[in-house]
Amino acid sequence: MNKTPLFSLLVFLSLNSAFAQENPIIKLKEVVVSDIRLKRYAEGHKVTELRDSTIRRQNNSLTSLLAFNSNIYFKENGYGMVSSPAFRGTNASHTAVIWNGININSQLNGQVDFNTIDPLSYNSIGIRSGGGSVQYGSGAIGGSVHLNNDLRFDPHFDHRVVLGYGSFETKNINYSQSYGDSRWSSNFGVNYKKSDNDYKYLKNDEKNVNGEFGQLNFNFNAGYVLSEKQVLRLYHQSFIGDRNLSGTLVSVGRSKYKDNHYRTQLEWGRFGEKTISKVKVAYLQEEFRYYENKDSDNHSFGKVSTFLARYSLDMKLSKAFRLNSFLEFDNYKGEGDSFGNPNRNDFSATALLKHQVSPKLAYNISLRQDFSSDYSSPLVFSLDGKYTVNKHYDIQLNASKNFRTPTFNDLYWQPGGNLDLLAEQSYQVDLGHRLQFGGVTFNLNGYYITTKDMIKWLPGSNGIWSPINIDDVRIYGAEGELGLGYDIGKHQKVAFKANYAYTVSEDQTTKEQLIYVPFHKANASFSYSVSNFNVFYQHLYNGPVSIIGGELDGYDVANVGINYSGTLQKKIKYTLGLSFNNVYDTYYENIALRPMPNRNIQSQLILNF
Amino acid sequence: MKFKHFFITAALASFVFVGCDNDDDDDQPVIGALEVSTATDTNEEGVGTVEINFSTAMAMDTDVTISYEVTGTATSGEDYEALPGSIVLPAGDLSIAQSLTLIDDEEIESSETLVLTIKTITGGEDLVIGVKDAVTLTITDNDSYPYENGIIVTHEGNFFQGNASVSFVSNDYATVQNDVYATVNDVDSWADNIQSMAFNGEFGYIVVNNSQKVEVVNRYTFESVATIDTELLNPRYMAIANGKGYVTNWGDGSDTEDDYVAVIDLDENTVVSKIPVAEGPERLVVKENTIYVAMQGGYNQNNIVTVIDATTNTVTTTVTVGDRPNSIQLDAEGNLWVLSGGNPAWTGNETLAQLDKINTADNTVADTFDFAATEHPGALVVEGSSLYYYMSSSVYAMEASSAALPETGIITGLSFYDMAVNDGKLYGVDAKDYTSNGSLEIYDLSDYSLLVSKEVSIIPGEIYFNGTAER
Repeated sequence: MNKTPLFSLLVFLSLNSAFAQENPIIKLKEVVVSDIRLKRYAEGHKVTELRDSTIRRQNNSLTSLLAFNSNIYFKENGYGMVSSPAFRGTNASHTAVIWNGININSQLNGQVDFNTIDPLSYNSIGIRSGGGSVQYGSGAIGGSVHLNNDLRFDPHFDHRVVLGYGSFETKNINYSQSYGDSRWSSNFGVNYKKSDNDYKYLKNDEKNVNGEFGQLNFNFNAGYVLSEKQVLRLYHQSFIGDRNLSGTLVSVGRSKYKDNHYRTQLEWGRFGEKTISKVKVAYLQEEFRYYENKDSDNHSFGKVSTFLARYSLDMKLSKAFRLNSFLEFDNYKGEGDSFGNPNRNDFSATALLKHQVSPKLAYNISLRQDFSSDYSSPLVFSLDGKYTVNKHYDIQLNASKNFRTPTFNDLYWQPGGNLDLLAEQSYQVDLGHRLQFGGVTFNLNGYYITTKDMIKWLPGSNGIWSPINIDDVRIYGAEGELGLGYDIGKHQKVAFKANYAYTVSEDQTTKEQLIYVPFHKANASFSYSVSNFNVFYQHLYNGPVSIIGGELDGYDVANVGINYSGTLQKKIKYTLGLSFNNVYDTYYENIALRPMPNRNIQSQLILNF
Repeated sequence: MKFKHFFITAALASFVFVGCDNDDDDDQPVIGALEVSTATDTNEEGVGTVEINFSTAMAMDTDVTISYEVTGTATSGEDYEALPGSIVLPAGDLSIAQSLTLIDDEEIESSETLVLTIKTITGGEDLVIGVKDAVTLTITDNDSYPYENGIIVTHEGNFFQGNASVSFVSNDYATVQNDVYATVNDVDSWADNIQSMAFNGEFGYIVVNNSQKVEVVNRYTFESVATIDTELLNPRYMAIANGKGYVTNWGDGSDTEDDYVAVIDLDENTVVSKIPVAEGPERLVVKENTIYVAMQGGYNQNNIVTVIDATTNTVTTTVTVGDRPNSIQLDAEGNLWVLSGGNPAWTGNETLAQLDKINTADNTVADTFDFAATEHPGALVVEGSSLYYYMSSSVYAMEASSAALPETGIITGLSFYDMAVNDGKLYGVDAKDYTSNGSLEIYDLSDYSLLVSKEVSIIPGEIYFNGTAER
């Protein structure tokens, strides 16, 4: 071991290896993954996983990562500002974000601001297309994004430092470590990102004023094998964000938004021969402070704490059948300037049955019922399956009923909150084809979603806006995904990946496409590696979208980058990267009147030791 | 007999001739009197050619050259094509026409005159210039400003969407033009949340709340004149007094201490000073040099009218009215009427709405009318001695002399965001669902019938009336 003071400190922080003793016989694979359901009960769903190098390529922005590498379309209020997804033409609260198995969508507005998620904090980011309310609860309508931390129980002690610097005084520093032995596993990461974000507007001579942001992310995950069959796991994440909110072309930004998110879950698991039982408790807290004038102390405030307790039982009934059931209790406590101090209790019961009919055919049937103290929720179900036609071709099918619960704002906002709201209900069917020939994969999905009782805020006769269950939306679309990967000789490698989505998302009253849903979205990335060098090019095409009273132009944006990897003193692996974002210097807005950055350069140094 | 008849006839004739001697309009053909005339004295500039006739009762046996002079306010070469200055009346002819070609220009101008006066005639010895030696032609303009004689509707648009706009509806309702400012000035997005508009002479002042600015335009062309974008923070309404502009500002909505009325130099179009006021200054009216500001309270609530002396730019007094005064108007007798909506139920402190009549001589409340519990009226409009306001989807009317509030509405089943009254007609804007185009609804106040409904743009807010521009 290296004995430098810094290193000693890291060792101290990492919970040292004193407990490493024996090597219990446990299904380690089960324990490594935080959310086994994403793999075991999702045969009929397209699940895409983004890892390591792909994640690191995107300057630590989950929005950019997914915009360039998935079919999800993003609306970003200017770079680094509030970012919300539209997955398969659904709205921002119809994408569930699942952190190590639990839904972390805001209780206040039902959404996750994708610019408050630090992608470097996760081992993998999963994108599960299609409805998932049975397993993941409210909001999993278009699909879900899964943030996963793995706990490796193989002996290792790794460190990673990522340093980034680039245009607009954008700085990023990340340190993470991972430790494991047969009994203990832990990883820890801290990430700080800051940017002046004062890019020039290409349309006029102005700059993106008041766009500065800074964010601190801390995560700590640990697992401890208690006995031959029992494992205790802990996941924690803190996010502290401080952003000024940039304005628009016709409205100068002068406000500030601070939001903090704290998430902790503790799970005890017993891994028997035929049954796996788990007890999970989690405490989530989200809070925000909005400063209309960033230089003033006056602000509005909101906070919601969630306490979650879940018991789940996974049983192997026979060779062919497997049953997973869980009971969950949630308590939500709110406190805020605009919604008083509401307190709500929800309860849900879920059962998933998996039938492995043959090696070629498997399907899952599942049911879930939610009960809430403040509104009624529908019984939801899901049916999904996969049939392997041959070694080159799989067919996936899923059909489900999903829901989105009213948010705290919908229920309790003063004035206007409506306690008579119903949960939004959605039915969908999704058919997927997966083809694979050597280094070529091709996926094609077609889906149909109909959502009714969608909550919309409308002004009443008294002039007060209030939410009601009114909108019905019908969505259908097709998604294609092509992947190629070839090794050329020993030292060269090429990879290509492209996504295209055609989306019709139609309001059933007006028969018009919803605002901010492009009919066409496509992206492609190409990378080429030769020995220690890697170059990549990525391209995003976002079709035009309708906005209130008009249309917003589509755009093409592309990034290129080059990385060089090497080893220092045989111990430290390093990667030096440069990326040129928006290489064509395209003027684009992905929310009207909020220009996005012009051409910029970001550099990155990654050290692994 | 024949001679006798002749003499009688001659005698009678001479009597008649003598009797007519003093008449101005002497029908007796004076030998060789040349006169000038036209068929129509007043001509619109677009008619093309006008004939000016030179005539005489007796033909000459030689050519006569008539020289004339052209004077008047109309300009040769601009309003009409230049005239040669002379014309020849051919031998044997009784008249000759001079063609005058009017120029149909694009210039907006007042009516002009062309005076053609015969100066000399040469060539006919027996011809003299008659009594009608001059003709005056009035040339009227057929051009107008694009946005005069119509209704201006300002639109808030959606907050932070930058889609505020101005529409123009002609007085005959035949044309509706949306996005007037953007079209005239060739800009895409220019305003986030237009709150209101004010007028002074030929200028219009568009108060753009969330762009923190006032756009100064020519009110009849909507061409941009200036932008006032410093020292304004959440500007709301503007009025003109003592040659200055006064703009109410909330300051930070969350700060109850920083509200002010900005004073604008209308020549320089800059904010020259600020008058600090209490929380939430909103609408304002001006009587002579006194400004009355309804303090609605912004995001909070207030219950006063602040009185500002425009000669000293100081607050002279405040008058307590009901909670949340949302509209303020002067009647024909100079009384000030203030309608306060009361605190709504969701505040947890619901209060009664109230209509106050304030005597502007001593700034005291002369009369107070209380509304029933849960009633929250707004949009008070006064025309002459009639008051109108909007409450629970209905418009109510009352006379200024009335002792009590009206019990029933005059027009019901409405969805007005705001309204105005002008010349016996009621104008209301309906913002619909706030994301699609709203409408302007016009009712005849004589029988409360709907005259017309015109689609305008997103979230129509306020209604103004543009008359004929001064020329």
